[in-house]
Amino acid sequence: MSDRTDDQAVTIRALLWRLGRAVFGDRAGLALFLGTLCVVTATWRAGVFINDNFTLVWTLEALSEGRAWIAPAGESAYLAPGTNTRAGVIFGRNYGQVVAALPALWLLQAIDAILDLRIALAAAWHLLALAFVVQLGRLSGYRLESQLGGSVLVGTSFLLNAAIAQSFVSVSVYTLALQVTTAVAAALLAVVLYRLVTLRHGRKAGVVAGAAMVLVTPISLWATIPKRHVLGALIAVGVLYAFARSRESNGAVSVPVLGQAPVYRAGAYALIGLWAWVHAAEALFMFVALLAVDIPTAPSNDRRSLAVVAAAFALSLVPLLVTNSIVTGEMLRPPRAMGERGLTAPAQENLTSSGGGDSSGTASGIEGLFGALGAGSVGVVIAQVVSITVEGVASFGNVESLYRTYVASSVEGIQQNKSRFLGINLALLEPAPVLGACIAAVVGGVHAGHERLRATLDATDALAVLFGVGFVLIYNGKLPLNTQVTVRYLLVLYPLGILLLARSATVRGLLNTHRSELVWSYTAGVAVGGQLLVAYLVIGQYAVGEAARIHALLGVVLGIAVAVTSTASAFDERARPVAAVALGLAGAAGTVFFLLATLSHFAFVGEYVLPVAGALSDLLSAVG
Amino acid sequence: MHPGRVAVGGVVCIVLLVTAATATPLWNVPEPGSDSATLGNGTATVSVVSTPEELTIEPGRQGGGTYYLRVPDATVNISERNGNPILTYKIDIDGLGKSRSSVHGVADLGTGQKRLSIERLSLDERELDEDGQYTATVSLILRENGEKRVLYNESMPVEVQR
Repeated sequence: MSDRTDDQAVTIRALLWRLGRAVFGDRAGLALFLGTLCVVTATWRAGVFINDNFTLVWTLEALSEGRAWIAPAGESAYLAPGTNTRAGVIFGRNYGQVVAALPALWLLQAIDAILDLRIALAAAWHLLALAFVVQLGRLSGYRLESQLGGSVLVGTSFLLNAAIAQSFVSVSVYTLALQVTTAVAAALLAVVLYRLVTLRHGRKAGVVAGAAMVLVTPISLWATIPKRHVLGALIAVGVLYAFARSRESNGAVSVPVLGQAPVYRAGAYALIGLWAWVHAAEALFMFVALLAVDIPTAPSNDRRSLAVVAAAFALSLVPLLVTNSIVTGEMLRPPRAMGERGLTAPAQENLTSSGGGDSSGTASGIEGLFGALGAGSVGVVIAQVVSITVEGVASFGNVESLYRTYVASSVEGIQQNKSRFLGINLALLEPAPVLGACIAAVVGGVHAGHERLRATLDATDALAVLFGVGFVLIYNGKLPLNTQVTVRYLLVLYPLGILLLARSATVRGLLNTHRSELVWSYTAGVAVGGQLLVAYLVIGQYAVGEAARIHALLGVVLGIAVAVTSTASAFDERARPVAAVALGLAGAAGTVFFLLATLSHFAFVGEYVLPVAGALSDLLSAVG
Repeated sequence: MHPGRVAVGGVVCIVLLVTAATATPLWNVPEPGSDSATLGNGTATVSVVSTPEELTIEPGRQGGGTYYLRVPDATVNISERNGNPILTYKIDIDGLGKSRSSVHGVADLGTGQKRLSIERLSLDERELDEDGQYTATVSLILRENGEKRVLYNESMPVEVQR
């Protein structure tokens, strides 16, 4: 009897071990997952950030009750952004994302039934933190020290949190479930980026890339906001990883029944198919990019491989087609193709406390695309893709809005936000000035010479570039846009940007030869610079729009400094220490932005999940 | 026994036990008159210590025609609390149709000297008159068992700085 339970225990352990290997790759991947989850949820506020979060919350509520529509249509019915009305009922949006949140919802509902949700979530956070510290100890060889130190720290912190914890006042489990899902997606995104970089440049570069993406880019800010953008970034980087694996040796994996099959290649297509369930237009552009790179570079395009790939892709589209027939009544018309409430919905989104927005959106390229998808004609779809591409390329003629979107934002550029939120919309570079080093990556690559560049670049790089270009083409004409906050439509450019830095010999060189300068300037930047900024912003009682301008200015200055010094370091070794310090400080600015945005500027959103984070936030607002 | 494992296991047990202890339906019976008493039920003695002396609408530092009215904190002294009456700190700007308030359960505030604050009001340039001079009413109101008691209610000029 006991032998049998022992055997079972061994099998379960082996199974967990294999599952862990499949998801995280190795212990470093697991540590990165746990660490990311802890960081992004440390300042987690349970609540709605943007008006259209409501749409997702209500859609989840509806699905959990077994229906697809969120409310009966009527004159008094509130039409949340992105909803569609058909057959007398209002439908939600992003069904794929909402379905992904169901397991988290069931878990939370079960916990809520018996325990105090606030304490239970604090407990879960602390158990994750303990697991993270223990894994870190095993990785670094300080196993006993981390176990003892971690126990003391985590135990104390938990008791402190439990002592000051008060039950949530008005927090919906539906919001929490959506937030848990996006936070897990952000952690998986860090893991996938780590594994992708590790394939080419080894574990160390991989860990730095994964951790940097979380700590110095706004991925962490969006990780607990129930929007699709973090999930989209996860899908994009996931496709890149699957694609890179499919190009290894022969790229085939042995599968039961099928035998040798191009599993990774099929997986890349299937991920895109699943994304179509959330945002069909983005998925379509990713599909076109993948097709363009995959077919010419595949290890083999024999009939059997193509059949496996096509079957996987077709299967992954089933949820989309089922949802379409329920919501729009036509299998080939995605929800976003109905009415004008397609991608123009952003114009209606507003930060929660600013109330509803106007619904004056004009149909343009992307809505046309949805219409074409509805029409189901391949020719029309291609024509629309071409027209969006042409429109996207044409939008590059507007140099001012390019500058305002990618480099330095302006208050006057986006006036739709209510006055107190005027100025909160940052450009791509501002919240993550390390991306300034992308210039160095490109210039350094070109400087290394044509031959060398051709030897290092591979099909995965081409796909990454096409993904970036695809997203830019879709959205560029509309940007800068209100409530983009950190150009959230192009959030995928942050992991792709970090990938570019990781692929750059110039940037990796800085990391190898000047690590201590980097680490010290980053640490000092966060600890000292962060406190100075807190003193300046908090004591000066800056409103969120005003504070954002300070971050913007800091971000642009540091971003340019990084661009100049790291580019110089590609030509002259003497510039390297300076470039390393600039990179460290730019990273610190990104981290401080995340901390201040979540603890101070956007503190009015919802309730802090960790009681100590709430107390810290109160303290910051009381100083002034 | 490995000391590290013991420590980790111990903390995991503590975390789980404390969490399990919050499964309130099992034994916790709320006491009448406790801190969690219904908001609005109860009494307290509240004296006003300080209130704003001047109010100024200032241009926002981000520009773009945004203006802010930052209302200074009011200080009150709370004693002899019973239950959880409601204390409201409020400002009305006549002529702008704007008002903002903060509502506090006195039980949450506790006794002694307490500061009450109101979130800053944001205004658009277009809402403000050319030679803006407004009057604001600042008030502190205590609600005990449904009875409203005005602790402070004064009108004062609001200056617009351009």
